[in-house]
Amino acid sequence: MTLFNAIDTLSQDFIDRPLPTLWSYISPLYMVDESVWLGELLTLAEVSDCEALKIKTLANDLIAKVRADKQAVQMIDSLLLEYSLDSQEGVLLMCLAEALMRIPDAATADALIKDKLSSADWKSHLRNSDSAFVNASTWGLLLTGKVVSMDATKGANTIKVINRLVNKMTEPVIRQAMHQAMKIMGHQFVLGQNIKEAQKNAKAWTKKGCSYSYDMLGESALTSADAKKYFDSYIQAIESVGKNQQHAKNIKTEATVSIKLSALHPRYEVSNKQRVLSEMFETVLILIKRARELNVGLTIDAEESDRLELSLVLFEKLYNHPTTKGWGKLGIVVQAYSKRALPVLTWLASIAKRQGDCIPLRLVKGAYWDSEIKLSQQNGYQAYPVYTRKEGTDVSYLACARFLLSDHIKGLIYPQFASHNAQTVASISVMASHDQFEFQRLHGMGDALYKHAMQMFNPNVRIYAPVGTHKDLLPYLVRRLLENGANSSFVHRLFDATCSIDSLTEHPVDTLKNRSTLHNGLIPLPPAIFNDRKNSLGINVDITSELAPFQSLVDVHMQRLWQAGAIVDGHQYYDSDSESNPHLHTVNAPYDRNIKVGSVLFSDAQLVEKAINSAHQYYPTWKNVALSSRVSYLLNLADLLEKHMPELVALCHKEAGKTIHDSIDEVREAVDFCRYYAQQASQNFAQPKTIERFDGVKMQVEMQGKGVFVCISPWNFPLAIFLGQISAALVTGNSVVAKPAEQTSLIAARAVELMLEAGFPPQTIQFLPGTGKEVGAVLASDPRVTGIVFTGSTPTAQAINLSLASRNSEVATFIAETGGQNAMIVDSTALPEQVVKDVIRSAFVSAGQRCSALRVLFIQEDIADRVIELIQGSMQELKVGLPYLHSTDVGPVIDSTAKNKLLNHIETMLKDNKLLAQVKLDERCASGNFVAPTAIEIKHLSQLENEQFGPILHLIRFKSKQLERIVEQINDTGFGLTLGIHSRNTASYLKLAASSRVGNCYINRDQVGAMVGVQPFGGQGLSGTGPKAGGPRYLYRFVNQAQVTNPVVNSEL
Amino acid sequence: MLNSTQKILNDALQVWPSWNDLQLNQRGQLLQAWARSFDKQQTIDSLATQMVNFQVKQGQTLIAETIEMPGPTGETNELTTAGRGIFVIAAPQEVPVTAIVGLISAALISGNVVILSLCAQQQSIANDLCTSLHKIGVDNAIASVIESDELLPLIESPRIAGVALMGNRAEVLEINKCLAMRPGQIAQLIAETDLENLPTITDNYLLYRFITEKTQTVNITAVGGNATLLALGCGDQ
Repeated sequence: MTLFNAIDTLSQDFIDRPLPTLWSYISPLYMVDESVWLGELLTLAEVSDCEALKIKTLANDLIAKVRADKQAVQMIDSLLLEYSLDSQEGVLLMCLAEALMRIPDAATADALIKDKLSSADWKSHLRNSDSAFVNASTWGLLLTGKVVSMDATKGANTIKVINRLVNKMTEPVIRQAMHQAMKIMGHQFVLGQNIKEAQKNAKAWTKKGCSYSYDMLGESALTSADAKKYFDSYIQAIESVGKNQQHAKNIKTEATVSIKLSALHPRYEVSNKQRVLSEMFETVLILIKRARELNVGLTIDAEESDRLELSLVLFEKLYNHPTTKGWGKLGIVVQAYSKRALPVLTWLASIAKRQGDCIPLRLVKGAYWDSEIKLSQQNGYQAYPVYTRKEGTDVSYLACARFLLSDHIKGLIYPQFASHNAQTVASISVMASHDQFEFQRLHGMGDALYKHAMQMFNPNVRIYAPVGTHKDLLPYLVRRLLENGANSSFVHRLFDATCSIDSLTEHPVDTLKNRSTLHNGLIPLPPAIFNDRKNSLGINVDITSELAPFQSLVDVHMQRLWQAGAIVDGHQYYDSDSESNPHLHTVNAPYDRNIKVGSVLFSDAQLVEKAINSAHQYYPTWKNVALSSRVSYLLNLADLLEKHMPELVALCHKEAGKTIHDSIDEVREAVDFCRYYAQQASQNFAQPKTIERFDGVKMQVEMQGKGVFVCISPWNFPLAIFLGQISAALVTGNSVVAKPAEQTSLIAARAVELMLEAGFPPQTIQFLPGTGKEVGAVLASDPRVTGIVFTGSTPTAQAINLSLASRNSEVATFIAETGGQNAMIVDSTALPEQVVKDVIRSAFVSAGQRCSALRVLFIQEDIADRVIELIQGSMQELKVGLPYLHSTDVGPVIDSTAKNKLLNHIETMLKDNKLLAQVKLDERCASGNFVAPTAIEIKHLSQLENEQFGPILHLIRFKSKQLERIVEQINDTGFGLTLGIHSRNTASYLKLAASSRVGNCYINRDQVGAMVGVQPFGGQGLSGTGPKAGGPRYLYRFVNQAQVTNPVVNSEL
Repeated sequence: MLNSTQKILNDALQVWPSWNDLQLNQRGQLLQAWARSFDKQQTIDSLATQMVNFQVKQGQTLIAETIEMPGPTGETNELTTAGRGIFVIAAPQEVPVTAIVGLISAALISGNVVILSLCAQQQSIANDLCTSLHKIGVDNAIASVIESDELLPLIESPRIAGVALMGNRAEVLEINKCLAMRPGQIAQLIAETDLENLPTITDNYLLYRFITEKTQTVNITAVGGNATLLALGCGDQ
């Protein structure tokens, strides 16, 4: 149920509703039910029969003219036509274009070229396209520098010559030729390498009556230095453009400058709202002031969905500021693929009506679609913030256009319709009752379309033109190719003679209505991305409508005190006498020792005995409980965990010092374990299996629980790993004695309470908080224990193993997941900004307290300086502090023991090694256990002996020829948990991955955050013992094979 | 341990990666050839042949496939298996040849290399088994033999990934304790005490105890594009 009806927005008085009301319509629409909402938007996008006919006629006419135009296919259009992204070559071309110019060293560049060219069939693209540009690129890609400038239409002789040349090529020549080819490509996408050059190149179309919006390439600054660099570039653009038009008379062709907020500040995120509304606000104000002085309009581009609401708050603040008031040329961009688009428009119209200045508003379809989908799936949101069909976005676009073109909106908003689609252009033209709007197209695209459109009905047209060097081109380039590069895109179909004009001009309303559902059934919603279990639910804390209810619930729990004691046979041993008990431990928050979280009564020897005994006695019963019952308790538990997420998040904050994201992920992972193991057990162990032995004997076998499993879990994943171990043991028919980490017994106790609520018989789950010495050691030496599941340090694992082996009982099953010395290898094909984002996250998330965390970064010398610069700059922007605040990036370490150990290590390392960067801690960190994230450059891996479980990153430079030996070195440490590789060279990264002896290898992303059932987690060698948690073979470690019926005897025996 | 044992250990470690890097089917073919060669050996009966073929088939069924894990769009996630290193196949007393051969083939098919330590009376069987393996083209160091006296010194080395032991309860406990006292990686101990029915060796999931798993995740949108997803977005349904 939405708070308003879409159709109402067309009424004149809609925007007269109170501003807070209009604002309140926006956030709840964030991931509204797609079919429901599109159903409403259809009523706005629909056209009358009369309009439909006019649109069809106009569109058909336009397309016919374009198709008849011999010069129609130009530059980018032709490139997109030939190299659609459905083709392997298209992807490889994009990859080469993106990387080649960046790589500073010849050896790596050559390797990349070889890697990409050897897997593609470039020759098949030669001569397919009539465009000299495309053929030039292809020729260039076939490695001859001379041919790049040659006219490839000359015929057969040319090919012979070229073939001869190709066969003689040496690597330096090849590399040069590639650079040439890439440069040419790059040139076609930008209007100029700098603003002056761009303005010069703009003259031609300006003469034809078009205006321009200059987009100074660059976005997502990671450091203040980069943000300043982009700021300077924007100011320069404003100055240069302003010079020409400060006193301009021809208003129609005035140029504007488009800016990206993410370029102007290293922390343009909702979590840093304070900084955005102060620091970034001031920065943009300077731009506005100057732009206004020089009569240069400014447009604020739209970026990722999660930033939308923040960007609007910022916009309003800028718009209402005296510097801007009275100007009417501060523009904004709205993305039609966003479900929130329509209420955003009504809100903007409303503030314009109140304040009086016109708001230029570019309506685009949206350029981050695929990453929005990916992010929503990864984060387990209930639905998507964007439409899942192209025609859904198209309908939204026209619905928004309908609103924007309404008579009463004229003068409040100046709509700028960005499109290369003839149908859209025709629709807008017909729908409009006035001419106070313009179209916008991209430089290098839609030339033919708009040439004819301008001849036919003389619309206002502005060209959005990127300006910059090839280095900054990547994100822009990729988005353009993605938006338009698929075979099904308009651009492709426009120039495809077999595609009928009618099919090209079908109205999106009709296309959408003809689908079986308005939403796209081919793209499952995030909860349904697994076809055999429900994905755990996440909360998007960047969206007000999501955050507010969640936060208020968490806040309530943050005021609580918890108490816990051993839970044996369902009874919790904590009562009023406990206060004076020597076994009682006060739990204080790791971020502030003055804040009490609660108290835990550790288990005494009697309770330990009682627990083991009961678990042991009950095991035979539990073993024979129907699997379906065991499974159902686990599924109940999963639901209960989701239901109690706010409380569990509060506990994660207070007891474990976890940040908001980490806390939500913690609960999600616990839920995933429950559901995954439940599903795996159902799939594999529900029915007896008939197997055939080696001697031909057929048997019916059943997998049964082994006995009593002791589960010893760590404090860094105090809910997820705690329950991951337990759920695996229980669902397979074992009884469990659980010993949580001392530091995090409260959340574990709460989990056990929920388990009992979920239906697990009290004898199956015994809970014994206590120390390693008093409880752990006792459990590990008890003969009644069949197995131990352990996650923790390698020395402790060895001690437990020895303890088990020293008993006079059957060999125990010992499942141990231990430490790592995790590395990341980065070669010079990697994009430094991407690398640094992944490095910072992998090394410092959870204050480095993850088994998977990055400890050693191997960086190729050729890009080391740049990467280090970015790491230093990024680290300066990190906030260390109270973990429950949205603005905190890094929380405390778990206790003072951990803190001191880490500080010692840093001190020791800094004696002989260079400090690269260290985050400053402020006085808020004084009362807690905080360690400043630190980056240190070292010479060799052997300088590190042990795992340092905290936010300390070590960095080693390597020469490209040393690459192969690095994996050897890493393997030789004996650890083998996670490895990250950043490279564009496929052959190279596959080879590195294959030779690495690690459990979890991640390529071109961060190396933390393994998801249950997606990336089973665990290592080799010193790091682990076999089939991995969260994987399809894990449960087999908990069962024995038992025969159920008499074997069919083989007569040969 | 003796120098000769140390050499055997070093050579085994040296040759392990190349054995491990073979496709399981390649290892399987070699083992099947080995199984066929038993025809010519009097000390080895047809059950042994069946046992080897069985472990190879189990390998193909249980651990050969690269499993594509489902997950969010824009990433590929693959799960594969690999050997753990060197397994010592040990039996302090006389044991059925079928059992020995079962553990050898289980260890080898999974990508491990083996060192045999049998009792004095079965030393010649150990040698015959290894020789016949080498004859069909398997590198010498992939399967070697040590004297039974050298068993404990050998397994004290943390470079031994595991022990597959056929023996009685006391022997199993002793080996277990010895393994647990080492520093370094936790060893796998696979023990068969019922030498008549061979429940451990014939366990359907025996191979899971000889392997380690590896996950490989590739961000296929790193360069910026998710063409597959885009195609779905324009999908016809």
